[in-house]
This record gives sequence, structure tokens and C-alpha cells, in this order.
Amino acid sequence: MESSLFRYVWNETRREQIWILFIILASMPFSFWLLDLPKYIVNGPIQARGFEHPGDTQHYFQIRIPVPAGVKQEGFVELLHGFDLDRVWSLVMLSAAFLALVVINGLFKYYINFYKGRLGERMLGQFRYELMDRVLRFPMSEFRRVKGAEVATMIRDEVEPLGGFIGDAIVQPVFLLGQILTAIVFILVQNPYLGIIALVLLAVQGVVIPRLRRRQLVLGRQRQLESRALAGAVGEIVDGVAFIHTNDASDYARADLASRLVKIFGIRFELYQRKFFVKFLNNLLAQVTPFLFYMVGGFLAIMGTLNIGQLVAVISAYKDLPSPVKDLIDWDQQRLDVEVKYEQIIEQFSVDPAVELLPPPDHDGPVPHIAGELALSNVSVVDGNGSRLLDNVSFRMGVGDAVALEGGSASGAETIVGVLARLDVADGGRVTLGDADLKDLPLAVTGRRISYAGIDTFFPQGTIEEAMLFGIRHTSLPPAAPGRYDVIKSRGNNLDVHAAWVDYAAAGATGPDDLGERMHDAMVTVDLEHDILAFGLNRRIPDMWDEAAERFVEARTILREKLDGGGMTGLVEPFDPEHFNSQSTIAENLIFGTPLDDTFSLRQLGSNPTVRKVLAEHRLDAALFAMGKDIASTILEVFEGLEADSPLFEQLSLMSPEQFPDYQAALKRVGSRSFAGAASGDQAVFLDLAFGYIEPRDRLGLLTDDLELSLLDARHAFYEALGEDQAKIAFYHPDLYNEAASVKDNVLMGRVAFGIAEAESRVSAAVRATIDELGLRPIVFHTGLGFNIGSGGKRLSGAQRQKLAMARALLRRPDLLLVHRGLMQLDPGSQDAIVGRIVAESRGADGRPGFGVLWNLEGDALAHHFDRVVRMENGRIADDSAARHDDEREPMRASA
Amino acid sequence: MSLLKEDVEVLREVPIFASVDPSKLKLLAFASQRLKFDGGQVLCVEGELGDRAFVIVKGTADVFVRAGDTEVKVATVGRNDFIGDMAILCDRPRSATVKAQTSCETLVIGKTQLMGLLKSFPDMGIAMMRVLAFRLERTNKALAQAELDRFHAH
Repeated sequence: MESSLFRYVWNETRREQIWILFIILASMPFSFWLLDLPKYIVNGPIQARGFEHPGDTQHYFQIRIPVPAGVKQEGFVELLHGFDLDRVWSLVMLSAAFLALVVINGLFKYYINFYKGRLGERMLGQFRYELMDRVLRFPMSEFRRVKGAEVATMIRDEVEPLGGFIGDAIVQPVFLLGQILTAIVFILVQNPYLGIIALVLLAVQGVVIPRLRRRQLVLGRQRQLESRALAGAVGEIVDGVAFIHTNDASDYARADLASRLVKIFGIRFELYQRKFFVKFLNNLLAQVTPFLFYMVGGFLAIMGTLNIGQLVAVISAYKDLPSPVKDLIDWDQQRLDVEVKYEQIIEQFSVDPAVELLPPPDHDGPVPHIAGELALSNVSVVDGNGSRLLDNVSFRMGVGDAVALEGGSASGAETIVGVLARLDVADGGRVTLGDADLKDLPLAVTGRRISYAGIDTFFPQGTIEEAMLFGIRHTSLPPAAPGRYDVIKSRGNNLDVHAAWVDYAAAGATGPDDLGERMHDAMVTVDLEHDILAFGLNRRIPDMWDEAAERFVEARTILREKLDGGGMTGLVEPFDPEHFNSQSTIAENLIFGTPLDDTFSLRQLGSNPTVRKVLAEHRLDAALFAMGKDIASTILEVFEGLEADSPLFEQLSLMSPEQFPDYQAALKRVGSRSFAGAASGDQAVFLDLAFGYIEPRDRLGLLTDDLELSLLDARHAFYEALGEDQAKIAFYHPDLYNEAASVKDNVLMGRVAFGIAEAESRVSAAVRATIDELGLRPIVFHTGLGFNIGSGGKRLSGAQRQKLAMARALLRRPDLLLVHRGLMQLDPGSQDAIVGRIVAESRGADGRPGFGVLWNLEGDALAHHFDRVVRMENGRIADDSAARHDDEREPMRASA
Repeated sequence: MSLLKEDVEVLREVPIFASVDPSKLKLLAFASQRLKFDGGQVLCVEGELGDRAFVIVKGTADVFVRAGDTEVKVATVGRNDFIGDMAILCDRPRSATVKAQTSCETLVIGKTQLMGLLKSFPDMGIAMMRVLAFRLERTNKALAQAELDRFHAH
């Protein structure tokens, strides 16, 4: 990358810089005229010069081009004759011209600013893109020293000031120097002595101040490094927060953070001191000059060597000098700042010359399949600490073979897989695939034809479906109009994130429909289907259609039959508009539906005016208020004196230990006052507490039959009282699909009863059976694919993440599947079943092509699935079953 | 009477909790769960690691111990019997399988909850220890008596 900011800016924006310079030059006559015109207005029409006699006129807008007298007798060519105006009309015309010039000047300024801003922003985008593009080309080894959070702050924050500067980088100094030069020359012409004084002081400013700034630069650099390190430390704390807590290292993290902040403060403070001192000095020098002008100029005037008019002209010319000088110094300050930033960023993004960057992606069009033999010949790999991970290993396998590797963590088995997946680089020897050296193959070939599943998984934030598609997003069609992003040049310009990226053919599909089936197949292979169905059951279907909705409503009857037939009648209490549902909270019973927005959010129902009105009408408010108070005082009494982290709180769902003091205070405020006597806020507090009560769960015996009946009446009254607000709640209805509720809630149309052994799992099994019976499984599966797995898949369990990564590796039908303990987090039984299925699939069946497998096994017990088992020890091959077979029987497919 | 009060009554009648302060039993009842089992449903399985114990509130359950390939019924338990206490106090696998004979109502006490309670209120531990010690003494005496009987029988 370009090591100097100016060269980079000049190379990238030469045309634009010259254009803007031209525009500035073109604007100069207009600003000169704007300054000049008032003189004519004052001297002419206002002071009546040239209009001494009534009826005098002046001639305006005559344009003549002087030509040599030989060409034309008069010595000029008249382009425009112009016209005569009297005094008043002159005033009108000149003032109008002034206004016009104001507008023209404004437009110039607008255009220049806007153009510079756009230029800066475009370059900023380009620069950021280039930096990240570079990161994408770093070899894997570089990422050991790169911290994600630091790269992010560099690309996001540190680059930012560059954008503002790039527009001014070249234009500004040229423009300001021009202004300064004009003023100096003017002063010199008036009086050489005064001119020299001005020059000397400018020189002092130009020499002393940059010297003072040298330290500022060092500090600026330190500040940048420290802030970047701070960002890195913050990122590390957030990423490792679980380990910080499990090791009780949070105080150390706090101390580290505090010391960094103090250090940054120290640097910044010194920086400020110097900055403001330089400012002070600048101002002082700027003011010393007029002092000398008055002093020396006045002396010269008294001596008679300088006339008063010249002195006044010099001083007024000098008045225009400080502002461009100050601007130039500011520009210079900004330049230094930005150059430091630029250099530091470039430094961070450059790699050791010995390190080879990955080739830029240049593969468009179909990617060939890989075939032939994979071979490691005398390959050694040495890690950063100098230990040999692979020691002169030679290993061969056919691309279609199923080979298992065995060995512990330092055996080298992991490294063989790593080398073939291009995650580790061989320090000696050759790795070939077919006839080609592996490192010469484009990433497009190895990254699409070879799948890799390791211990760690990566998923971008998004849904399960997106996680699966991550492996086959390869066919970028060019954007409709070329140069859609003229912001970013190079390859980024030709890639459109909204294009159709999914390579259906890679997954053996023809379009979105059968791709869903392929995903399903892959999920079944890795035993993830049930998890996906469970996600689907707990999600709402985003856009429901009538036919499916009817089937889900039908499912309710079938589920009921299943429950009744299986002796599970009491496991689910259905939502019945005419009955109180004892397994739901009081609030749910009242609302009897799913709130669609915050108006009727179950957490703050106690302060909702409609609810309060209905409660008052049914005289429920006082009863529920008393109930809330009862709950609060009972719980506070029972749990008194227990630490907030006690496991005893786990079963308590009505309030959390953190809320205890609030309820205590509320109880104290209310005292023995009745409902009517309590403040409205306190009323809501205890109403809300009562609203969350479920008798079978909380077991306080507070719900009487009468109360239930009144609540049922209130439910109907509430519905009527809602009026237009009825649209804000999706009500439960036995015969209608509730689009706001999850699939499972829709099938249950009720609540699973509390306090019955295995109720949840038995009901779930019945729901699944019902869904299958009605052929609704694909809909639920598809809904489950929309489950958001969170950043990095954090909402999945470790085993689920590994299964998902494996399903993704299988979806694109690789020619070779590389696995490094990719199912380690699963129990041995599941591992065995999944490995068995994958190896069976690798032999090709049902018209699907086979593929090769190289699997660094989780345990010895899985080896029996493979044709060939290679055992590694201390970076060498200790035993190879193929070699033994060679001796004993006929040679294997892959010769070793 | 609320279920919770009933739970407290039940806990009080469990010998091991007999001398524990009622306010602590109330806390334990609060932190526990009511669980209903149908006849034939299994409460716990021999050999598995358990993290909860049961107090039977209603109904009866059979206790089975594995002997070779068959399961032998060794006892029937009913109201106020405490099952699985050893598993949560000593971290040992379940020593028997318990199956509901009739439909059973139980109070489930989680291991973390009981341990949390003991940690917060050591007095409760002392009260429970006393009961366990008495039980041990009784067992020792019975054992000695059995030895004596055997001696006399010869």
C-alpha cells in the first residue's frame, strides 16, 4: 500500500483535485468583484461622483477587446455596446449586480464544499474497503497477532479524519498560500521595511511552531496506539466475559481498564497543554506584527519616510493576512495529525515481506471439481514456538477415499487436516492436489470443493437458513448497471450484495424450493432435524396462509384426541373463552390473547387505563390489589435475610430478589391503607404483582372460585371496552389461527399444566406426532430455519453448533470433507450414528455423488466406519492400516 | 388451606426435618415444586445421578432394587416418606428405582435448593444432623441386636 498519504491522495484523486482547483480559480474574480463593487456603489450613485449634474448618466456594460491598432483603427473590438443609466437606476443596477455576485459566490462556495465533502467521503469508503480487502487476504498466520476490535476501531474511527482532510489536502494550501503571497507582495510594494518585518515574523511562526509541534506528534501517535489498545482490551473483556467471571478476574480487568484510561488521560492532558500553548504563541506573534507596524511604521511616518496613506493601506492589508496564515497553520496541524494516523494504520495493515498475501480473488465462472490424489510429501509444520507439529510427513489419499486420523492434540493429526484445509502452512515439503500445488490453487476451488468442519464453529449473526447458505453463497451475478457503486473502485465495484448469490447447483438443487429439501437432508444426516422442528414450534409463522392456518386449527382437535386417548387429558388446559384458565396468569386470563404492541404489554397492565376501568367496574381492583399486597408480604417474609444469589430463588417466578427493596418500600408506603387510599403508582405495583399469579405454580391459595368468575366476567367486559383497541390484541379463539402466537401455542391452544411429571416432554411428543399426521412438518421445519441463532450462534448449544457446521459442510456436496473433531461436543452414541451416516453418504447413493472424507476422529471407537485408519504420534505417522493391508492382502484404493 | 401451607405441614412430618424451624420449612416449601405422577410413572431410576429428592404427599410408590437381571420390590412408600435424600446429600447414584403405584403427589426438593438452605442457615443443618445421628445409632443398635441374636441362635 502507498506509504505516504499525499501520494495516495494524489494518485487516487488527481483529476478531482485539479478540477476543484480550477473551480476555485474561476471563483476568484467573482469574489474580487464582490469586494470591489461596494466602492463603486458608495463612490458612484451614493456620493454622486460622476452624477454632479442632474441628468448625468453613466455608461455600463460596454465590453471591448483591445486589438493592435493595425488590425482596427480604434484599437479595440466592441463586443457589447452597453447602455446609459441615470443616478437612481445606476444605484438599482449596481445593487442588483451586488446581489447577483453574492448569489454566485454562495453557489461557488456551495459547490466547492459539497464537492470536497463528496470527494472525502468517497475516498474514505475506498480506503476502508482497501484496508478490509487486505485483511481478507491475510494468510491465517497473521490473525494470531491481529485483534478484531482493534482492526474495527482502525477502520471505523481512526480513518474518519482522513475523509475530512482529503478534500482539502491539496487545494487548501495552494489557495491559502496564494492569499498570503498577495498580501505580502502588496505590503512589500508599499514599504520594504514593513514587508521585511512581516516576513521575519512569519518565518518565526513557520520555524518555531513546527518545532514545538514535534512533541505533539509523538504524543498523538501514543494516544492513537493507547486508544487502539483500549478498544482491543474492551473487545477482549466482552468476548471473554464468561471466563472473567468463572475466574473472578473482573477486578483485575477493572484495574487494567483504569490504568489504561489514566494513561490516555495523561497523554491527552499533555497534548492539550502543548496545543493551547502553541495557540497562545500563534496569537501572540500575530498581534506582535501590528504592534511593530504601529511602532516602526508610525516612527517612519513621523520621520517622513512613509506617508499616512501607505501606512493605513499596509495595516489594512495585514488585517487580511492572519486569517489565511492561521488557516494554513491549522491545515498543517491537521495534515500532521492525519499523516500520523495514516502511517500508523498502514503500518498495522502491512505484513512482513516474507509473508505471502493470499492472491486476490479472480475466479469467475464455473469451478472445476477436484480429483486425483492428495499428497503431502515430506511436509513439516513448525508453530510459532518452534515445536514441530508435523515432522517430515508423507501421506497420500485419493480424493474419494474415506480415511480416519487418530491421535492426541500434539500428534499432528490436527495439523494434517489444517494443512489440507489451508489453515496451516507447510514450512517444508510439498502439498499437492492432483497435479497442482495446493497453494497455487485459487481459493475459489478449495473453498468450494473442499468442506471443512473443525472444533470451533463460526456463524454470522442471522438465521439458521442464513448459516446454511453461508457455504454456498458463490454465484455473484454482476450488478444490473455497471458502476453501481462508483464509490469503491476495483473488485468491490463489481460485487453486489443484493445479487443472487446462492449457488443452488452446488447443493444439488435447482432453486429455493428443492434447496429446502437438501437442507432438510443435511439436517437429518447430522441429527439436527428435531432441534429445528423444536425451534419452529416455538416461533410464529411470519406470513401465514389460509390453507395452512386451517390445518393448524384442525391439529388442535387431533392433539386433543391424542391427549385424551393417551391418558394425558389433564396435561393441557385449553383456552376456553367461557372458562378461567388456571394454568395462565391472571393477566393472561383477562386479556385472553397476545398483545401486539406495548399498549397492553403484560408487564405494565396495572397502569393501563382501560384495564383499570374494567377492574373498577367489576370491583376487582381492590381485590387484586389486596392479593398483590398479600403476595408481596408473604414472599418478603419467607425469603427475608437470604442472599440474592441463593438457589432458593430459582423457583420464585413472581419477583426477583433485586426487586425486594422496591416492594418493601411500596408496602411501607401503602401501610394499612385501602386500595382507594393508595397512590396510583403503588396501586399499579401491586396490581401487576397479582396479575402474574398462577395458582398451581405459586400455590399461595389466593384464587377463589368467586374471583375466577369475576375475572371471567371482566374478560368479556374488557373485550367490549377495548373498542378500536381490539386490533392491538390477537385474541385466543378455539376455531381461528392466532398469527401472533407460536406454532406450538396454536396447536395447543392452551397451557401445559404445572406440577405434572414430564408434562412438557409428553405434550411436545404429542404435538410433534400431530404435526406429522397432518403433513405440517415441512412448514414447521421451514419456520425453524428462520430461528435467529444470535451472534456466532450463541443461542445454540455447543453440540447444536457443531451439528449445524457439519450440515453446512455437507450441504454444498463437497468433493472432499475435512473434519477435525467436528462432533466433539456430542455424546458418543450420536457421534457414532452421525459418522456412520456421513461415511455411508460419502460412498454415493440415491443418485448423489460420493465424496472423500478425511476425519481426525473424536475417539478410537469411531474408526470402524472408515476404510483406512492412520494413527499419528509426535508429528509422524505411527501406523497406517492401508500399509498393513498392502502387506497382507490386495492393495487398497489409496496406496500409501 | 393453601397448597403451600399443606406442603409445610408435610415437610414437618418428615422425620429428618422434624426439629427444623418452621420458618425455614416454609422457605424450603416455597423453593420446592409440586409434581404429580400417574400410577406406573417412574420417579427415579437406580444407578442414575439424581439432583432432586421427593416427599410423598399423596399416594403410594414401590421401591425396586436390581438383583442380577430382575428387579426386586423391596418396599412400598407413602405419605411423608422422603425418597432420594441420600442421592442429594451424598452425591451418590440412586440406590433404587421408585415407581408410582397409585397416582402420587410429591413435593420435589432440588439438591441446589436444599444445599443453599443449609448454607444460609447452618442451624437447620445441625437439626438435620441430629436426626441422622439418631437414625445411625438406631441402626447400630439393630445391627448389634441382630449379631447378638445370631450368636444366641447358634
